[in-house]
Amino acid sequence: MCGIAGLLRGERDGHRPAARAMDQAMAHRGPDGAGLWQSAPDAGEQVTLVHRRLAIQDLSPAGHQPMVTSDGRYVLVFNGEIYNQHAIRRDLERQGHQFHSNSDSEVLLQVMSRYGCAALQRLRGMYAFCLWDNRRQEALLARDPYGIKPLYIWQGPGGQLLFASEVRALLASGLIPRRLDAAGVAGFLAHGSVPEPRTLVAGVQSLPAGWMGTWTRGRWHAQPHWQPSYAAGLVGTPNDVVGHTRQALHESVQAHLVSDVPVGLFLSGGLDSSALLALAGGSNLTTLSIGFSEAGFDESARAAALAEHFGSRHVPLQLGASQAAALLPSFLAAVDQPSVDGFNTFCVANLAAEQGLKVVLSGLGGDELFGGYPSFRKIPHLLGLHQRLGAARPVMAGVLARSRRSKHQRLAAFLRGPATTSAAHRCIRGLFAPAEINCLLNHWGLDAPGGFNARGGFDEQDALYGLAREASESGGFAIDQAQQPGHQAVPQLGDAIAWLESSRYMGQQLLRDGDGFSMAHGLELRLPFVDSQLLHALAGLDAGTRLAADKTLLRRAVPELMTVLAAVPKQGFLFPFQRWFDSTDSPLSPGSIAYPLPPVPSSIDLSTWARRWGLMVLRQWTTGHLGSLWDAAQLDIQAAPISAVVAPSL
Amino acid sequence: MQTTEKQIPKKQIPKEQIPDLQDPDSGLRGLHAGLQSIDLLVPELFASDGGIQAYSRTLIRALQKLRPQMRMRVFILNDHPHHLPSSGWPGITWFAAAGSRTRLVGSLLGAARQRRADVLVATHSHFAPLQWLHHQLSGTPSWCSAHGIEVWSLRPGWRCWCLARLQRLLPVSRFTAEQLSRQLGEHCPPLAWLPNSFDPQRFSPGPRPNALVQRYQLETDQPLIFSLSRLSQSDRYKHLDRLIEAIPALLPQWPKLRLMIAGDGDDRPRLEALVQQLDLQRHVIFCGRLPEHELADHMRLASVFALPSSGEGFGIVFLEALGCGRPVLAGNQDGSCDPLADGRLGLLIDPDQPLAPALTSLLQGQGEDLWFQPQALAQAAMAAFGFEAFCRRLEAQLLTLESR
Repeated sequence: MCGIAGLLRGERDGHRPAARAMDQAMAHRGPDGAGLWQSAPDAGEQVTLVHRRLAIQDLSPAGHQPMVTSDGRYVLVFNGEIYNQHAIRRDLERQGHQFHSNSDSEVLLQVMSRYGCAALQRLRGMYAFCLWDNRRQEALLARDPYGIKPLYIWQGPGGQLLFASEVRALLASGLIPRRLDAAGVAGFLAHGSVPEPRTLVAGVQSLPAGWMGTWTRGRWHAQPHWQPSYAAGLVGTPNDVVGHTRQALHESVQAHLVSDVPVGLFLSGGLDSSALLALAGGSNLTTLSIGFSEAGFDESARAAALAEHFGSRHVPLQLGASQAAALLPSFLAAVDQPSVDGFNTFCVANLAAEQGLKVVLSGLGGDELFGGYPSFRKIPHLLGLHQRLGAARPVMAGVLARSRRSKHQRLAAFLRGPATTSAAHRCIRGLFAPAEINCLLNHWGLDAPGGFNARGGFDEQDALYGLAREASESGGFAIDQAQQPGHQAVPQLGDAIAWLESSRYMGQQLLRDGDGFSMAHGLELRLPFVDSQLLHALAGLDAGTRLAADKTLLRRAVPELMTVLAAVPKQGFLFPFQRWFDSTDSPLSPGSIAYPLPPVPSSIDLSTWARRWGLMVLRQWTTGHLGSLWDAAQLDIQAAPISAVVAPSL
Repeated sequence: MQTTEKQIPKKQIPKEQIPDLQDPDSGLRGLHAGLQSIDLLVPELFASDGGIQAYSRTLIRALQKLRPQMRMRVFILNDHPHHLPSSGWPGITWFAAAGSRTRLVGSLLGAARQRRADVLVATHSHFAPLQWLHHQLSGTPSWCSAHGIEVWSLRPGWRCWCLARLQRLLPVSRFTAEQLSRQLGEHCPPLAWLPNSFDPQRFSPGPRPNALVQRYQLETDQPLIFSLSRLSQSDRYKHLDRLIEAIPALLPQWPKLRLMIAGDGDDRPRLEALVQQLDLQRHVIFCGRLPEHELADHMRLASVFALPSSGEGFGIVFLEALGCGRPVLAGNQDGSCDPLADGRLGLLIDPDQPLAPALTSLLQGQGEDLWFQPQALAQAAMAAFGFEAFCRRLEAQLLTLESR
């Protein structure tokens, strides 16, 4: 768990200051060390690699990066954890390799240099890395299957390529034009987070989750190295589905406990985090729970009961509105890409770091894997409604579109388009409806991006998912295509919803926030439910069983939990955002003088806190990193259209 | 009874066609004389070539070598009398049922009445009901080979019930053994792993044959991925479509890359349409069903042999490619793990994942050193799965029978 950056090609004299600036911009990601490697002046391509270290496995200097093979051929910068490093290490030792450290970085370096990109399939963990091959003059960049670890790239003139763990680090290099990407803004307004591969900065792209790319002599070629598959195998369902599930969960949890520093667990009192506690055993764990003074939001008693039952060292923490308000400025400073979520993660990570923890497990991902979200019921309902309305759909959509309410607007957009799973998902999870987005973009003087229309929103093959087309053309995994049930990768509707939740809501919002806000505190977040090998073990189970209501399969797989959970009533683990934000005297309220919103037409419904919060964070981020665009717009929208200042890039 | 019986006198067999009988150092031949006779039940032997046919022939050869004095009767369901060899198989009484199950049952039970064999071995699980009946009538222990997909999802029924009541099952891979054990549970008969073998004299390392280089208009060092499979709609688990789909991602690095697919079947039009759709006509060669004598030479064309299947019982083609010293890519979800010795002899990948990264590694020569040393690789394959290794494993099973 660290921060990485690099410059491939470009003026050698400019590399070092840019690399130093990128390093400084990522200092929060790696308090335990910093390293820089630069290719020899006469060695071909000019390459500089930067690393910020948060030491988790092998705390000694032997784990220092950038790490170079003994023959000097390969150089690695790596951010993440390889949980099965010991199994890979044994295999390499069998072939005669001698290791010099206990670091997973050295294992990654050796296995990649020996097996090449075929080795990506062997990795269990979260990762983003760059492996430079001096002999072939080639860089390999790769990102883990779910995209837990971020990796952003920018392609400059003359084949130059910059990469970093954060967009802000790329901007810090001083080599990238600070231009807003209108498509990124539209995507943010639609989803509540900027959808991959876009960012808010024109030209800066996220390497999609589960993808790799090679850079050779100025040519960049990206392709998927992983794709989900929910198809049942030829051998059918295991005899003991519950036992099989428990075994797979147990293996994932044990893998995620590999660490040379103490490991904590965020214990909300809900089923997912409680299941992790039961599977991990409490004896070596520190559990953390958050309590709130607001009635109906305090689950700390339930968490305490669980901790006592399983014998963990439990630390109940309290968070109030005033403390949250005090954290807000540092939260906004830590945002790498805006989202409507993340403040909760930031607050919890802050409290965990104050306890001296460096590694914390989280139950994130349980809902995606076992069907815990309402979307698993709502999407089939929406698709059924679309079909039942038949010829009456346009009429119904017209009636709904007249409403100011956000939900109605999104439903109208859904009814106007084809009945796809991803469209239904957008209808449920979306932030603003397409018509509202169009209105906002116009109001800010931004041109609507290609592939967008104000009635139906983004097409299935829209600009936001342009990389899906490229993937399909190159034989890879077409994102939208594979989100339709019946595709070989997602044979059932439940599978399609599970992957939409995993790849969109979780992948592009929760995971991005989880990484950014935990790393802002030098804290490593580990997610045993977000594990490609766990998915592989469970995805082939029948969707009806795996996604049964109330996460029945998970409950049955961890039966020892039920007696404890049943004894203490559940209230629902939620941050009291609505109360904090809606209170008139709240210092947290988005739209206040301290935290203004961008200019918004009066027709836009801002009654939900998430919309105000999202707009506030968007304004803060663009103002802080791309200049005072919103202020200019506020002063004279007509006279100074933002499009004149910001060149939309598609 | 219409059974065709064709006894081949041993004296007619030119010994040079049975090289193993010439091997004075074998150390296996004739040490145990406990077994007097054996009956074999096979679906097909000479009428066509396939994995089960090759396995059955290897089994017969091994029995001949291990117990040269033992009487052997071979009952073949599909072969016609004209398929049977006139020489090269000493001491065997053939029964060719010409596709008639009635004829097969009649000849087997009739032969049992004449002389009770020490053991009946079937090389396909479809014979399990007949084996059970045979055992009930004759008391002869009955063993059955289990190859792959045909026993991975057994439906409750007559065949499953009978399989559970045989005296021994001979799975060709550990994966198939696991599936039998999982399904039959506590009723599962003893399992003995008896993996396939290959002929290292036919499948040996060598340069690309000029005739084929010219036939396919290749350049001497042109990168080529070779795959071989029946192109059947029911065998889509071989994932040849994914192999085709991986090619575009490889072309930037290897613009002259060719994918050669050998085999034929009713899925070929779909695969050819996919090639057209991806505009890969210049890069993908369908060479149809290959004559047996050309197979090894086609293997020698390969830079990499790839069959990313998820439904192989074992995969003799992997052994044949290894025998030719070619780097091999196979799936890690099925019996393919065995011929690749859990990844020591070749690259195992998840066939559900994109294939281009793994193919890139092999085309770049990245992986274990052994994979790129043709002679050493062929030697390693022979040591693990050559005829001698097959005989050793079979001998261990025969001894358990003789020591009772």
